[in-house]
Parts: sequence; structure tokens; C-alpha cells
Amino acid sequence: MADLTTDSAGAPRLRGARDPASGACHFPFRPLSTDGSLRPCTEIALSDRGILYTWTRFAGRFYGQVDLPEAVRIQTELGEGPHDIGAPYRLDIAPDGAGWRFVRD
Amino acid sequence: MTEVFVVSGGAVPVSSKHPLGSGRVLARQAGVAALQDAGLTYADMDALYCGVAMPTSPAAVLVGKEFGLTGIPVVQVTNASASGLAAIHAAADAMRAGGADRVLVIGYDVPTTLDDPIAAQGYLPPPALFGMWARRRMHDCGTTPETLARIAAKNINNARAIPFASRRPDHAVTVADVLASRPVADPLTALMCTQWVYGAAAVVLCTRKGLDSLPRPPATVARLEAAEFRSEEPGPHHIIEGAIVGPPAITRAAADAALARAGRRREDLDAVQIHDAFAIEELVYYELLGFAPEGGADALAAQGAFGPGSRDRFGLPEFSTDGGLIGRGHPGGPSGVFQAIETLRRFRTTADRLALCHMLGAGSTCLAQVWGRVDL
Repeated sequence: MADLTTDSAGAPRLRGARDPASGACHFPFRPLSTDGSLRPCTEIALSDRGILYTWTRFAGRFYGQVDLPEAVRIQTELGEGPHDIGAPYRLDIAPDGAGWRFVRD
Repeated sequence: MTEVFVVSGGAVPVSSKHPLGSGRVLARQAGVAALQDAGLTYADMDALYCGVAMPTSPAAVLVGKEFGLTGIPVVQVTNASASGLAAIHAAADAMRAGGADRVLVIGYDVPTTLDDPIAAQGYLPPPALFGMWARRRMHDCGTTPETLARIAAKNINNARAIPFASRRPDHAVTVADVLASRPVADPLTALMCTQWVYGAAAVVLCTRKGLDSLPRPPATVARLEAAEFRSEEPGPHHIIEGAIVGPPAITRAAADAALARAGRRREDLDAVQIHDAFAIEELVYYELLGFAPEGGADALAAQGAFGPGSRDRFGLPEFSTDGGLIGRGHPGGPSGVFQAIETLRRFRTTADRLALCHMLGAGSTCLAQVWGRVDL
């Protein structure tokens, strides 16, 4: 899956990008920096844990935004509730690798 | 600099009942209405600009054939929800460049299938995004569902007087009505959200030369004093991909730039038409546009600010005076064109002298246009 990579220990992580000049991180991976200078970004494995910024329920499914330590906000489907702003969440990858979401940690 | 005016408008009703594939017909009907309002024909047009959001709506060049084969440039502008206002922006640019004195601008959207173009791209449903906006706002500012319901009720009640609005209830909608409507994306209920609808709207734009040569000069027109077209710039925790509407600050940047270029102050605005697809947006935009301090819009809205009589009572403009995207409806491409039509209607029928139109396009773009009244 294009959204995923592995960390140094081989664990699956979201595949992000870091601008080597500014240090800014992004998701999903992007090849070039956001300032238009055409500076290549490097691929990084993003943290698999973050803090829930907000959430809602729509059509029977939970959605949320999770802030990672790299100052990246992930817009994602969530696992079952209850959900609380400020609570810790972790990346949850489907066993067959077909999808990912965040669940309460 | 070449002046650009809206001199006339026309539209078909916004509705979910238009048959799939009827985009050419609806666009023709709206275009003919706008041309007839100006006393013009398609043969008088120097260009056709079309704002179209949905991928299976008809191509602009096919819509042009509905009016005639006159050899004029036909330009299609696609920028999600902002397509209609972006088409006006592009047409005005062409007119200032000297390429045209009379331009027909049509916003239309009627797809050929029921496929959801947002879901097809793998993006989160927009109601979920704005439900998340609302929940965070409640956390940060103590916003209540009643505040969101008050905004939605205002807009739906504004739409009751608009013939082509999608929501025209036969009774005044109350806060309780909005709160009792079907839950959509907690805390948003159905009446706090725009509907999935289709439609077409058109305006005729003229330069001063085009205006002076009209066979039936109107008493009042709207002059484009300044326009700003922005895409997103990164900020903290910026979400880059999705059916998103940028960092909210994109609204502030675009509106501030447009007002500055026009040499106008926000305090002078009589009416503001905005991208109120969800009630939480309008609440946030009160503040981003500088009409309330951060977290301060709830109290103003509770007192009736931004609704009918807001200018006299609070010194603040009225918002979404034709019902906005919640009340009049948000058929995609037409929405920005409807804002221009509403601006002209207000200039023709009220004491308004200055207005702001604002639309966001998922992805993200933001347009802000400052319109001034001109009595001929």
C-alpha cells in the first residue's frame, strides 16, 4: 500500500516525507518540498502513536484527526468508540495490509 | 484598469430532482434567462465561461452549442465548489486583458450518474470533515449545537424568499426544528448541512464599453472592485490531501487581500455570501473575516448578528442573504454564480452598496470578490 512503509525494526508505519532543509514533515509522502523550490524530500516512517485532535461519526463510521509527534495531522477512520479529544491513539493496520486506521491506545 | 460589471442574472431552481444528464438543458435555460434579463442574445457575447465541478457534467463546449455556433471562445473552469466564482474570476481576467466586452458566465452541474466523485477519490466524506470542525470548535470555544442551529435556521429562512432555492419551507424554521432534524455527522444535523442538488445559474459580465452599449441599460449594476484567488500554503498540522478546504486561514488571506486591493474596509461591507456548506463554516468565517474575535462569534450570532437587520443593529453585514449553500443550495458549479446573482439582487432591491463573495474549492482553493454597487 502506497501509504505504508516500515521503520528500522521492520514494523509497518505510515509513509511520510521530511523536508531536509526546514525539517517539516508531511503525510502522505511527497517527493518535493512545499515551498516550491523543488527540493527533494526524504521518506520517513511516521510515528504510530498520536493524540486525537477531533472526531465525528458519519454513516455509522467513526472518523478523526490524529496529531503525530512530527506535527503531522492524519485524517483517518477510527476504530469503535468511545472517543475523546486529547486521548492517545495508535495506528492499526488490517491483517491483510489492505487498509489502516487509528484506534484508541 | 478595465472595469467589469455584472449586469444581469438568471437561474433554474436548485433541486435534487433534475434528471441525470440534463446539464445542457439547464445551462441553456439559465443562460437564456441571464441574456434576456440584459436584453441581449448569445450573438452579442464575446466569450462563454463555464464553471463546472462534477466530472460527468457536460463539457462547456457542448453547452455553448445550445446557444449557437458563433465562433467565440468557450472556456471551462473546474475548481470543485469554487468553480462558478472561479469562472467569473477567469472571465474578468480575460476582459481586463482586452479580449472581450460582453461575456456569458454559466455555472452548472448535473452529472450523468449518481457516482460520488469525492468518494471515488478515496477522500473522507465532507460531512465528516465538518463534523470534526464542529466538535473541535465545541471543545475549544464552548460552541453549542444551538449556535449552529441558529445559523442554519437563519439561512433557510433567508431562502424562503428566493424562487430558485432548494429549501423553501412554508413556515419559518426554528432552532428546535434544526436540532430535531436527522443527525448527520455529530454534532451536525441534516438542516445544518447543504444538500446534494443540481442546477444552473448564469450572469452577463460587461466592461464599461459593453455596459454603455446595452440596448436596455439597467438602473443598477455590480462592479467587481477586486478579486483574489488563492491556493493553500502550509501551516502547523496542515492536511494536504483530501476533500478539504485548506487551512481555514486561507479565507482570511483571500478576503484581506481582496479588500485591500479594493481599498475597502470590512466595516463597509453590507452583505457577505460565503461557502456555508455546513453551519460550522459560517460561524468560523465570521471570525476569519474579522467580524468577531476568535471565539467571539457565538455570542454575536446568539444576539441575531449577521442576520436580517444586522447592519443597523450591530454594524455588521448580513451573511448568506439568499440562504447560502444551506438554504439556496450548493449544486457545485452554480454556487459562486448564485452569489453574484444575489449580490446584484441586493443592489437592485436594498440599500446595500458593498458586498463580498467567498467560495472554497476542495483541494484547496479560495476566492474572494469585492463587489460595489453602481447606479447608472
